[in-house]
Amino acid sequence: MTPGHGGMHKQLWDWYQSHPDPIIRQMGIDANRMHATRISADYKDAPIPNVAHEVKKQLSRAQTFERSMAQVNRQTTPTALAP
Amino acid sequence: MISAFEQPQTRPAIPRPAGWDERQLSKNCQQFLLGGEIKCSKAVFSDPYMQTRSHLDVSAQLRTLQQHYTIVDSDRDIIEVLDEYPALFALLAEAVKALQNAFGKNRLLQVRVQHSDDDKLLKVAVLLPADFACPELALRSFDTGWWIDNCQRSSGALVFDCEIQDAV
Repeated sequence: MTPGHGGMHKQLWDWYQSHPDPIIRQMGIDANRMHATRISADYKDAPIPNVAHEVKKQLSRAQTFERSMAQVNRQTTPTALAP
Repeated sequence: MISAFEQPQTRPAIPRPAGWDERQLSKNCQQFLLGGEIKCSKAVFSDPYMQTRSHLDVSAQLRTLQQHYTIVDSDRDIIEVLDEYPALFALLAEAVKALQNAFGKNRLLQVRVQHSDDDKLLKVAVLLPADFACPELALRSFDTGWWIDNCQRSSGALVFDCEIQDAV
């Protein structure tokens, strides 16, 4: 990570989003969305509208990310994450 | 065999014409959105004084964006981010059509600044009615139709997402 180029999350997902492999770029897009949602949850006082729906969406995105990670690493998708 | 993560990385090439300048593109987008005629002169590309970015430029960009986006946070917060990441204005201007293609026209587009301890990013939320069919599929269509080819220009500082408008 490079000092002065934003926080670790931002630099990491920027690296993903700048990757030549479109699967990895999509992972960066998904991860940055999860990161933004997490900022809302952790740093804002206002309650999250429809929080149950938002949690389900976040978990679903995390599972998609894990499946993509397994695909990129040529690993078998963990059974619990299999579609 | 090594995985894609371990291979040497080069950023994907962004096709750019001769004389390309991100700030000039921002000005062109601004002019386009205001319905004006776009003029590009060599002098503008080559004169470093013309390329100097002023606070007034960014304020004008904000006013332009307000024609398509609802700014949720204070103008100052948004201006700070646009100033720090000059490419975001052009991306936001270009995204309007791509968002319309994916989610339909006349959707409310909200922009807010997300602050954490060490990060600051702009989040665009497309507000959708509760009966909107498959918002995640529409979001994926936006990704594959435009965002995946342009996200590398954002420095990781721009997020597009959708939210159910009347959710309680």
